[in-house]
Amino acid sequence: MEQQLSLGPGRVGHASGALYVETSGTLVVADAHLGYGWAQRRRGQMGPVTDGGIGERLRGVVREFAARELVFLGDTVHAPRPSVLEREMIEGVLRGLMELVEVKVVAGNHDRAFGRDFAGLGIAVSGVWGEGGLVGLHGDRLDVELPEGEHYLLGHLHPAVKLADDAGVARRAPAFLVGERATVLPAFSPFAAGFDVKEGKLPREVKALLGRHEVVVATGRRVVRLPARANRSVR
Amino acid sequence: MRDRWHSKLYGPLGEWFAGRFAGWSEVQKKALPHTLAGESTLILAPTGSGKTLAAFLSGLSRLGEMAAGRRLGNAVHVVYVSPLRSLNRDIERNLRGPLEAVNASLPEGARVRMESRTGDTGQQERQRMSRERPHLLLTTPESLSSLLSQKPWAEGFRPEVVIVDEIHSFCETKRGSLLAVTLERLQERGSLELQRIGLSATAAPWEEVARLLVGARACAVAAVEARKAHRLEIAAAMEGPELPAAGFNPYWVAHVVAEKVAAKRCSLVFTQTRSAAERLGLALKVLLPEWDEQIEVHHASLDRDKRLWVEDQLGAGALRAVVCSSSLEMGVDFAGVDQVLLIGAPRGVSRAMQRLGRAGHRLGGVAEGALVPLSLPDLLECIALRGAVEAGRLDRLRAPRAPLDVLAQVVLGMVVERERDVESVYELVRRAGPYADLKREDYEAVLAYLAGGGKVLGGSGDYGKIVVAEGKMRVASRRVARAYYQNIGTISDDYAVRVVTRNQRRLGDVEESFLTSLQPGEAFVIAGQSVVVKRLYGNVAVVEAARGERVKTPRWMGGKMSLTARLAEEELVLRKALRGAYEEGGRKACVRELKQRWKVSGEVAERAGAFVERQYAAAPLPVDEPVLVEKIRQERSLLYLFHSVAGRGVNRSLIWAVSHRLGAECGSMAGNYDDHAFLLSFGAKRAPSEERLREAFREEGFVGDLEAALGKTELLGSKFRPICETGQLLPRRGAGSGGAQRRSASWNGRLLYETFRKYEPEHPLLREAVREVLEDELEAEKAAGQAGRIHGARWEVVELDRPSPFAIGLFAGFNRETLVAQDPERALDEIVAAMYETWNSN
Repeated sequence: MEQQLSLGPGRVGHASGALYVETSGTLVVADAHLGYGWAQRRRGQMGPVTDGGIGERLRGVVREFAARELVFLGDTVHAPRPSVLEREMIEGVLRGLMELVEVKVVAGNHDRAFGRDFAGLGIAVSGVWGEGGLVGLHGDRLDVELPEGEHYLLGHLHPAVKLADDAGVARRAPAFLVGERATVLPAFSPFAAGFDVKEGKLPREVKALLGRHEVVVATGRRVVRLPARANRSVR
Repeated sequence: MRDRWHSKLYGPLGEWFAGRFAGWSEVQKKALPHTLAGESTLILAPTGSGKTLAAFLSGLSRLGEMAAGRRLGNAVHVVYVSPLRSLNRDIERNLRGPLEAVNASLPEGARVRMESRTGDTGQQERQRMSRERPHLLLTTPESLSSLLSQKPWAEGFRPEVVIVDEIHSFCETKRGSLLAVTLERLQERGSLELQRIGLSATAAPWEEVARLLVGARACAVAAVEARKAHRLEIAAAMEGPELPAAGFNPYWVAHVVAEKVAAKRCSLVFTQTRSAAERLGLALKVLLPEWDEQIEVHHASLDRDKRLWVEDQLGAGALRAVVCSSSLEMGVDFAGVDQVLLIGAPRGVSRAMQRLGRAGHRLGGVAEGALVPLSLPDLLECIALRGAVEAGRLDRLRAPRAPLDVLAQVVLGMVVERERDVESVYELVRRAGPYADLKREDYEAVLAYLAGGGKVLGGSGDYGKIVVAEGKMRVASRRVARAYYQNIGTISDDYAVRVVTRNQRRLGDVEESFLTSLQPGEAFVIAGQSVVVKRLYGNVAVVEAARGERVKTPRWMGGKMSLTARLAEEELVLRKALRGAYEEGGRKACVRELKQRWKVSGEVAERAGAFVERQYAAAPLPVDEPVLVEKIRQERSLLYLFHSVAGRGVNRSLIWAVSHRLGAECGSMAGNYDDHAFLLSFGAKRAPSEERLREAFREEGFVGDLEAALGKTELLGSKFRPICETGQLLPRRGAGSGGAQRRSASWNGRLLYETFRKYEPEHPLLREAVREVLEDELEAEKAAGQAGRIHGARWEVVELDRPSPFAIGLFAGFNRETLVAQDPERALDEIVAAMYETWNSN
């Protein structure tokens, strides 16, 4: 079973939806939305409050690559001003990771208050992450600014693709969108339904940056490049 | 004419009645002794029997007396609850006369006020009503439930009488559960025992209806003969030699319907789905251009103004024909309708009678109607149905058992109203019929859920909708209360997109999933017009008239109805009779049997006879014993097709449970089901033997295996969202404004289901989903019985190249399900792998 797949020079896609940058030993994950169940509960939706196994998945993939650093590419948490138990859960996940690896956070639209809310953890928060020509940013404000770079790693979009077998059973799976100049990472959160790239329109800026691109499905257990012809039907 | 009952009525009301009617109708004679004595009464009578007045006279009389004695407060004393807003409007119109008669005798300031309060009532009206309250309130269960929780109405109810119209229609739905508890809440506001009057079409068993109305209290019953004279014809006068074996397209019968419409003054046409109503409406306009303007379509997805307009026109007798799905099947009095046409077999006896009752809608009227079958299997169903209708053999009602999602909603509603006692709410809820057997632990589980507890959180209840402490409960915050008001009810729509024209005229709603399935520039039909989408923003689609584009008809969920147990029995009787006749004397004997015993016309008998003969060219006519099994070999697969006249819920259960039992040994499996048959499809190499298959039908442990199988299906996941909405876990989709925004801010239903299943499988809403699917949807107990029958019966196995004529409907129904028996992750991997291989090999 392919757990890893090269997505470009020095970039390895993982079945979990994480991306590993070989030159710097950096593991990048986008849209973890930690505390999702809690945040919904605070708005009156009484769904389960659990991390959905995300902490374990993160630790597993960090170990698998023996990564040096872990970068959350935006939307690390789901909502500002966590409640007590929500904070406990989020900090538990992050501290567990910090024991293994250096953790960095690139701010996304959901975690503008991350630096303030979780100041005690001492995690570096920035607007952009960079390594050589590789630039990582959340991707919610592409219309406003785009730093110089050769290849961009983006989150925010939660790309997914609906796959139907011959019997007509369709399921949505998270997916990487891989273009010449940019890669969009799938949401790492287990609670993200996913933006169906077959049905929905990509935002203009993302589309421009991606150009012709491949869809690489990450099911959690496998990471598979949809072949060219399938891709054409996708876009 | 005056008699003892006139004198028991409030004077002016008695005079009004005596001046208008020659005497009492049968149902009035039976009901009045009870209603005037203040007893709770269930009135069972067909429409047009005068039962509305039978119900209202006691309440109106009481209001008149109270007004005369200056005892009316600024409060509601009499409540009328109906399932349909249109019914409220109609009743309001009908009560104006007697109410004016009552009020004419009263001084200006002491008059009886009547108001209607539904989801359609505007904001200003609502506010005015909460200050100057009606004495007679006409409403729906949802609106009443909401009013009872609102602060301005805290002193607003001093109820003495409640009248529930068309109460049978609530029996089989969760709306009924909501209604029953709402009645208990109403009772709680009155100082006296509330008099409850239920109006029902004839229903069986009536005890089930009474239980909904009064719980375990005493209830008088005033019933009149179920059978209203029905003249019911089967119209199968088709062009060409035969009906399509698998019709389903109303175009096929449009000209038959057009002929019928042309022959009468005003026809009401019922179709099985909203989309069929749209298509047939359009076809009739084309076939009858001279009445183009007088043919309309009516269904619940149409814009309200348009619906009201159609109803008014129909009431005024200004229309030639109205094609509807189920929206006009109840209550509203359209005196002008002189014919009812049912397109396609209506799948149930009671439903058919209800619909047929819409014609000849006045005292002693004859309901004139015709059944228009859409296919040959439909034709047989229609023949069986007619027998049952004429004999008045009704479907048995099946009420949902103590649904926990509704319980969560009503408990929250009561707590929003004011602080409550944990114990007394439990007692109140259990007085409502559907919750009489509510288990304490289920109640506690719902409270724990509302309080924000549960397994993951343990006892920490700080984040819930309610706070439970020391035997009391109160609402957690005002925000919770606000959210509650916006999400009352039990009817969950697919996310609806509003369809408007360029000049903002609203045509109606369609499901979002339908709109996204359209190709660019593809036209669709709504409100009898074909249109194309020009722009789509948020939850609004701007359309303009289509010119020659390819036309699609929107699909609405929930339109397909299942065959009832009663009709299945009736159909089996007919099938056995035909089988006996055919095997004795061939087609001729069949025709003779149909004409003599089933009283069908020669033409229809010939057609049905020919169909039976055609069946015999392939296989015997399927009955319940022996079980006809068709074994069909296709290229690489083997189909086992079972004839099982048991309804689609049962047949669907069978394919799930059997495939679960066969398990991995047979590889992947697919199944189809409809009301009359089901099939299991295997890869030819791994198909089970007949013996192995028979073994998988054993009755022991069936329900447990079905439940286990369910855990792997998408069915529960898709049921879960509406349950979460009713149970107040998720905001109702499409409620209020800014639909898209609300949607993005809430849990995805399927993910929520999977997360619960993993972390909190005993959550009450999850258990409710399982209960609903097993009991209401799949009829698990009945399915177990049917499995046992198939297991024990003799099998009549025929090997065929293609399915027999009686099995065709199965393929036309498109109820195909993949019975994958593996975890979703693996299934997904296989899908990806399959796709990968497909593309590689090309």
